[in-house]
Amino acid sequence: MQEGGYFLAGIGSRRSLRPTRELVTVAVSTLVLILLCALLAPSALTYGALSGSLPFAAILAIVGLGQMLVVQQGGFDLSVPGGVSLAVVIASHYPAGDDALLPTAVALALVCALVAGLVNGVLIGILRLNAIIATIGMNALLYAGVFAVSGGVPRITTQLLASIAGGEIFGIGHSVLFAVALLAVVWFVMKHTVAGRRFEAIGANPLASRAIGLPVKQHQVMAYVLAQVLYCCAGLLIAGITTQPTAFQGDSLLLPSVAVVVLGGTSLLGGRGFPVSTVIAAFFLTLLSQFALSVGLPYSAQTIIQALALGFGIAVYSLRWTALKTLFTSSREVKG
Amino acid sequence: MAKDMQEQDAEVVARLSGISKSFASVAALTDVDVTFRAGEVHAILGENGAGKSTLMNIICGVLRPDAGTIEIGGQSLNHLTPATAVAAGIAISYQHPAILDDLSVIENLKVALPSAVFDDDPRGVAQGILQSVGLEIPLDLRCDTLTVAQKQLLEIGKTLALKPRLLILDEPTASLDQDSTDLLFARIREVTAAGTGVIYITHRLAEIRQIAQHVTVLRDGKVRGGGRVDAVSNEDLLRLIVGRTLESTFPPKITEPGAPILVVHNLTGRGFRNVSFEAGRGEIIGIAGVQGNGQTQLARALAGLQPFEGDIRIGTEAFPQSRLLDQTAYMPADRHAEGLAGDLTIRENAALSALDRFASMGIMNRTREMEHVGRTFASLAVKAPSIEAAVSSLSGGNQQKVVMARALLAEPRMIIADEPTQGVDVGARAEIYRILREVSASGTPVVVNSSDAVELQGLCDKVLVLSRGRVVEALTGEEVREDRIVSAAVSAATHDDHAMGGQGVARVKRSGWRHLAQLDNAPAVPLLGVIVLLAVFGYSQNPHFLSPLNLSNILLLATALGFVALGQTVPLMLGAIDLSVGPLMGLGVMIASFFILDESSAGTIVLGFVLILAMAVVIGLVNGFLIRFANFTAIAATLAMFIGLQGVAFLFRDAPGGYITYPVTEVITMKLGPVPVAFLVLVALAFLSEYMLRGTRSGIRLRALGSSAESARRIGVNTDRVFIGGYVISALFAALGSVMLMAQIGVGDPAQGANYTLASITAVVLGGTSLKGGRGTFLGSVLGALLLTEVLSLVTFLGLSQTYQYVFQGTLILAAALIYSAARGRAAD
Amino acid sequence: MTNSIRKTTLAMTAAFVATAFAGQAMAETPSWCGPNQASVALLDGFGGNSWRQVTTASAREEAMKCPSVTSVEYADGQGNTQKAISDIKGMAAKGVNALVVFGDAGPAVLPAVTEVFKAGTIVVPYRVDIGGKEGENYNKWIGASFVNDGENWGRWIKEILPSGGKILFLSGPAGNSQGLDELKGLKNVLGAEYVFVNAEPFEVTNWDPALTQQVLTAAISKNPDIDVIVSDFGPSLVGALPAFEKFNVSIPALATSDGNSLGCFWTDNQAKNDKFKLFTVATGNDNARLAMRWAVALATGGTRADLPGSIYLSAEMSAEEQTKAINQ
Repeated sequence: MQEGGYFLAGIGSRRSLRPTRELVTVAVSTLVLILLCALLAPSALTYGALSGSLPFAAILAIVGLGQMLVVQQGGFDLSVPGGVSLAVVIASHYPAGDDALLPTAVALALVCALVAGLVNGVLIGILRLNAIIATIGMNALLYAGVFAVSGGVPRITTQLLASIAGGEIFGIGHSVLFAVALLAVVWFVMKHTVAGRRFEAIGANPLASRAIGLPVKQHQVMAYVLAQVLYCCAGLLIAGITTQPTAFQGDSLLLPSVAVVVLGGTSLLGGRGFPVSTVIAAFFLTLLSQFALSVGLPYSAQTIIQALALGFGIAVYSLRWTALKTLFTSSREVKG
Repeated sequence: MAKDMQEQDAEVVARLSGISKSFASVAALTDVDVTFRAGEVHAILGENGAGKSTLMNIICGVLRPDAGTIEIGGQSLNHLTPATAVAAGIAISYQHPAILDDLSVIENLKVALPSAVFDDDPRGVAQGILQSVGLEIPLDLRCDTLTVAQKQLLEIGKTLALKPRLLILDEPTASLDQDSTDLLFARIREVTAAGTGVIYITHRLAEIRQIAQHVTVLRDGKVRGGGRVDAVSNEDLLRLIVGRTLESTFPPKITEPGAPILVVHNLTGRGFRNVSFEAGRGEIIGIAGVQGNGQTQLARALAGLQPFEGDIRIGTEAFPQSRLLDQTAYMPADRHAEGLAGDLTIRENAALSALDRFASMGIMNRTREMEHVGRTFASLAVKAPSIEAAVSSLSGGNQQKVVMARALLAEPRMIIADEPTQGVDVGARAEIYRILREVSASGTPVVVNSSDAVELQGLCDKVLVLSRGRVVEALTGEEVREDRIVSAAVSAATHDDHAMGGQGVARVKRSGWRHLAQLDNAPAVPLLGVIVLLAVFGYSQNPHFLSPLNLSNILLLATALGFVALGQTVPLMLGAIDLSVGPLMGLGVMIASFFILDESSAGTIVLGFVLILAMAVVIGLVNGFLIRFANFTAIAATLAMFIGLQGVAFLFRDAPGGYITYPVTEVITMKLGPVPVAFLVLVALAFLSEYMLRGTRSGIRLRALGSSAESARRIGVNTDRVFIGGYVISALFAALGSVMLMAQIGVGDPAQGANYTLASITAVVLGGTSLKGGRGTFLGSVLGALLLTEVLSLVTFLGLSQTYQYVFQGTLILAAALIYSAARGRAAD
Repeated sequence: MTNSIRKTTLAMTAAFVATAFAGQAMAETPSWCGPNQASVALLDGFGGNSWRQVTTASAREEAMKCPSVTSVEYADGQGNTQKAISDIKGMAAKGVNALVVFGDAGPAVLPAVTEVFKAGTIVVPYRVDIGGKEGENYNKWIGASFVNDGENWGRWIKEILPSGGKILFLSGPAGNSQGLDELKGLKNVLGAEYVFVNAEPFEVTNWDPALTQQVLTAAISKNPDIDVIVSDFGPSLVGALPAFEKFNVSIPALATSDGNSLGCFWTDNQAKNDKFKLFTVATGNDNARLAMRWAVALATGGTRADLPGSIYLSAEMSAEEQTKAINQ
């Protein structure tokens, strides 16, 4: 139904600006949720509430983008917790409060992310291990790193990192800006560069890509490397925002990272990625929990709502329901 | 005279009258009348696309005819289904055998044949079946090591064993060597002598003379003639086969070929050998032959998709495989699998091979891309609502044009088109021919592989006819005619001279230990070794490690994990996964914390256990239905379930409460010496599951489904039921795990259980079950659970820091995954 | 306000004094240290924060005061109940004589504790209520201070807000017994004029600073006029409190557990925030010491006479400090 309106005849028009079905779906859901908030929990939409919750939406968005890259290649990354937590402890432990050491710490965290991503990529893309198993193993190794660095103990972030990650420009948190910048990069690379276009095609059909001579394995390896780099960025932001992060900060991001990818419309079977939708989905999930908190729902109801939102999100894409009507019904049911 | 009498007297097994069938307004069969009689071999002859397979599928009940009647054994059947066809005694051996790679020979027989066939001596009967087709292979050999020919023989053996009244053999000798063919023919004579009617589909005239009494020729979906074999000449038959109506107009051929620009010398690879040819500038080369004689492999080798020996030169330059892959364009026969990315748009698909040309510094120039793609589409006359539409929304013809546009945009050095007009409508065909001709004229060599001789006649300047991987005829100029091509392809009487498979002989000998190493349960041995080794090491560090107390601790903890792992093995064996088992265990304990309390009556306690099992069944069903009928992926469905169940647990209680009554806990944790009874139950269940998995029909069906859903469906497995059943089993085992968990934590704590999901997957994978599906081992899963628990205890005993613990865990998982994957990979070679 | 300054300072000095005291005590053998050789182990349910590390170190130090203690082992359950259970059983099987158990998982570790207790190992659970009874499921339970903590917070809240106010109560994972006990303590003291603005029974933070931050902003945006925040993990608030600035309201009073970063934060920010008062309970690194003493005494055959058995005296220093705080 929503497709028809955007249809333009002829070749060469600017149809690329046409919003995708996935984007429309997640955007409409988010609008509905905002409406619900305005009616039932207006406090969740105040400037203060948003400025408090947006940084975490931003972090979830960045992790989600990483997970999306892996999912696009038909993979699944369970090493999110390890990747994020390692970046967190490196950023908070290595400088030990000394701002001058922060750049080295950031570089170190990035190197670790690159290595971890490369190992994941080689195991999965080249040695053809199952993604779930390889990333379970890698997650354990990353946590070994977390303990080697921190002994499991958090440390207070350096002032510099706190001001970089937690500062604000014109009332917008730096972390949100970082997320938007990373989104812009991912979106641009994915949609407007040779590498990105190949990346999507390889995810959508590796056999066909191989048949036209594309380097399939290299792109699959890259997915895992870039994912780890994004997790690392998220970890650095967490370290800055939370002042005294725990050594397990990544644990709570694993399931949401998969959820935002799925809600964003990227198929778990691989193929086209929807970076903008994924980021909006991260905002959606964060707002959903803010909404639940503001309404005062108990923990059980919050969790069930998330599961239902996820279920309906998948259903919208899997069942290929096209009508907006359905979307509205599902949102209503989410509320109930 | 006597023969005629016999024919008159022979009972009619099946009679088809006035059968018509159309697919999307294209007539596949028109008004077909055939009669098949008992005790005679009736050959069906015709080119590809003549309607043979449609006819066979109608006889088997797979397809319903639009018009006409089917009479079987004197009864008119209007609603023939696969089941009623089987009941009526019809058996078919497909050209592509429905043999499941992950199952052994005997299991393939057991799962496909009714149990009545086996009487009380399955191995004896199975051996008899193998002998009947001359296969000398171990019954327990896994079928992934069989050659195509051996699989074909096994498939035929399966159908023979059914002792059908009507036996359909679809190109049975396509991959067989002379010995096997002779044996098969002897077998066919035997069964016909016993009164079975045989429908024999083939391309080979020589075979018809050897085996058939009756022949019917189909062309364009109509019966063109036939009769007693000894009454028609080969020339007559050929005349009946060829002469297809020309559906398309072809562009004019070149009159004067230019200097050779493509020189192929002595090309040998998998499926073909010693192929040499030259193409002059402007010449289109055709590859012909009966399907499965090496044409596809030759085309793929030319495209650089498969390794070869020999020389390929384009112009003056040598093209090794990597350069071919890079600089030639391949239009695959299977557009969906290998041609297009269905999710992407038309533009994205078309531009894919030429992205570099539309980019500067790696950044796409949208205008340039649009311009080029648009221009190419205009020249190909692609009909699409928008170039941003999903490519899957296009008709077959337009999809092929997109593939072609992509090939052209890449500016390749050579184009290899594999079945370029398959599934393409008439109008689009003419355009495709025109474009190929233009490309060729511009100096880019074009090679076309086609099973349509008319197409080759109209399009090509030179046609190589392959049989058994060798060029049996090279036709040029005026010789390129349909009858010459068909005649060369079908008259080649040579049978496999071991050139293709290397081991065409239906015999396999294997050394004992390699056979053992490939058993599903093989990982159990090294796993047990590691467990013992770690135990000895722990003991050497601290003798208490093997004290009865610690042993029972480890075993008890391993039991909870072991049950979930047993359950998880099932979805993994189906090639799926169940993430919801952990929270399901937690929910089980929550239910227990309301029903299995100190103050509960015996009845309430029993009710509690029943409710736990009922809950598991419901969750298993919901998981299965979501995946099977709502099109969820296994991960997505069970992930949503995972989160939801956690919420539900907190709905019951938001804080720990409800102490499980001690007598129940005591029973659950009862011990025999240091060994918990529950652990013995676990081991017993694992053995029982192993037996069910390998010894019973349902178990083999489960593995068949995990091995190949398509083949499983063809041999009659109810895939939905087996799949959903698998999820119910997984949930029920998780429920058993929750019983152990309830004794372990003793209280209804909504936060417990979730850990078990990843732990169970880890245990199963350590145990040697592959996430690819089809193969698994319950014993391995139990050992995997035991190993994980042992490691946990060992780390405490050695007082190692968490760093080591994680290093240990991670290394163990990755090492096991790598070793198993290497072992499995080698076995598949 | 001056009141709370002093309390913080006192709480902070208390830690120093305790350490200094411990240093002196090393020299002589304490009476709770008996003659029998014994090994002890400290079992954490979740060791991943600095407070736990300090606690572990103090308990270890306490045990080392007794020469009869042959070894002090440590294992961390990493927040995984199965690992915690395995640790408890494994340590007992290993032959460790006495276990000090921080049962983060609550009653879920009771069966394991009971089992090793019945097998003859000395078990002293502390801090978290794991259910069960002394002498039946374990030797001695050191703790129950959570209700007490809640009462202490409640009394202080009454003091600064005599006519009632809005309270936001944050605790760890959903359903954790510590939070529930603290709430009980709070309600024991506070009447109906004190309104809890959080969801029942407390806002779930998992003691995760990131989640705490999100929960807090949601709560403030809904109730910008919160008078006092009660949290049982003070340091996790440091990252979250600046959120109040965005709402242009003062940081409210805080009743929480101690932590250096929080103290520093208070020092830096109290001038700007007129309502920002701080009350912390030194939630017992000291009851780890006490639990360890009990374990060692039972294992080595030391005299138990001078061991404070009552809840109020469960801490070496801060008990008086707390009492003082309450009375002032």
